[in-house]
Amino acid sequence: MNTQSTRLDDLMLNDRGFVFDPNTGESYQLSATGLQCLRALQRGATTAAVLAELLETREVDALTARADLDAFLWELNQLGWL
Amino acid sequence: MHRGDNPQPGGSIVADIRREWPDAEVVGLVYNAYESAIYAADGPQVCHTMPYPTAGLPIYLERLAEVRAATPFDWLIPTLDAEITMLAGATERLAALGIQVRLPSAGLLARCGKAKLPALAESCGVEVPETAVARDLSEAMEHAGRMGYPVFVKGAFYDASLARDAAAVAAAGGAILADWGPPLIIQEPSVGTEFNVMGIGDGDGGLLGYCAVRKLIISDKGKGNGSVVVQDPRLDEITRRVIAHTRWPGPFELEFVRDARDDGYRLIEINPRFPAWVGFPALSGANFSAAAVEWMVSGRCRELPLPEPGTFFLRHQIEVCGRMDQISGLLVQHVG
Repeated sequence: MNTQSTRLDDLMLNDRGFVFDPNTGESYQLSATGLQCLRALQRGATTAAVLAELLETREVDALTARADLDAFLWELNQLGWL
Repeated sequence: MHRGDNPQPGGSIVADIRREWPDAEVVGLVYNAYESAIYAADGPQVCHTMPYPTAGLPIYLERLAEVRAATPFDWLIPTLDAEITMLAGATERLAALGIQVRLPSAGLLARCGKAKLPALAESCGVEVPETAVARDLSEAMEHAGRMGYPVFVKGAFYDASLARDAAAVAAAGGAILADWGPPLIIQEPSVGTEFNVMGIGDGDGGLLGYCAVRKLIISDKGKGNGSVVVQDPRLDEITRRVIAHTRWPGPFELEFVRDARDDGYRLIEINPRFPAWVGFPALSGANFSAAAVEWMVSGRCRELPLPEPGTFFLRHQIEVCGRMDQISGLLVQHVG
């Protein structure tokens, strides 16, 4: 089931990783990997699908990718985006 | 009409009216010959000095009659809180002078003033910081001591200072009492981010348009020198609730803090007028000043598109040029 939040949908991103949250007026700078993950989540990808995409496109082992992705998702949760 | 440091909305309102109707005859009413918008290219065609509202309604009306005799005009748009409060109860006397206004009632203004904000907020389910009203410094210090420091010390219309101890309450309160008289408002400070919502109420509980911003740059006087448009459904809903409950007629600005402790919005003030940044949405097609004029005259107004989130403004001061012969007619003080 897709439980994607409106907050995630509303985020404004550009190709340089700049993110503006229209809900709070805050802005953020993402790394290229963070931008890739956030865009995947905006498309409705599951955590497993985002992880699979990372493993396919980045030179990273599964354990490291999973740990980094979990940390990233925790931050997104803290921001109320998920 | 001042647009330099600590700007007022009048200059922007005139500019936006003339942006929409370049041939509009606009008469500027000023308190000081050095109010910068007098000399702006998009400023009023003619200006007259006025006595401060503290001079009292009879003197103010007498001067308005003199101004109208010298430079006829039909509608008056007061843009400062003290003017609006004074004139709200004088619409019939203004009409007798041939001057039309469309203002919130004196009763509504009283309900929405800083001193009455907690009661209003409770009746429409909006949170406000703890607020107490003091008639003098002794009461102010008593309230501050009970709330715990720091506290904001505010005047009924203008000025706000953060006081960290009783001496600071006495100093700030004394200055406000000397300038504006009682009451003093003692308010718990909300720690968080400041948001403002500007708009026009239709007087029947609906919104004709609004623009919500988050302050990005705050001056030492607490003014937003830069803000970005936001779109938060919670803020929209609170705004609609306040405007519906008050059946607000005409321009307004709601000031909020999004409290860092619980992420909840606290309503800090309701201003019965446009803010100084009213010209910002006009730059992207939402001319609130022109819409307010249409609403005043006809009860209807143009559609005001929601400004796009992420659009921001920065206050950009420039110099305007005047000549002393322009100023000479404005240096006369009208003290009755």
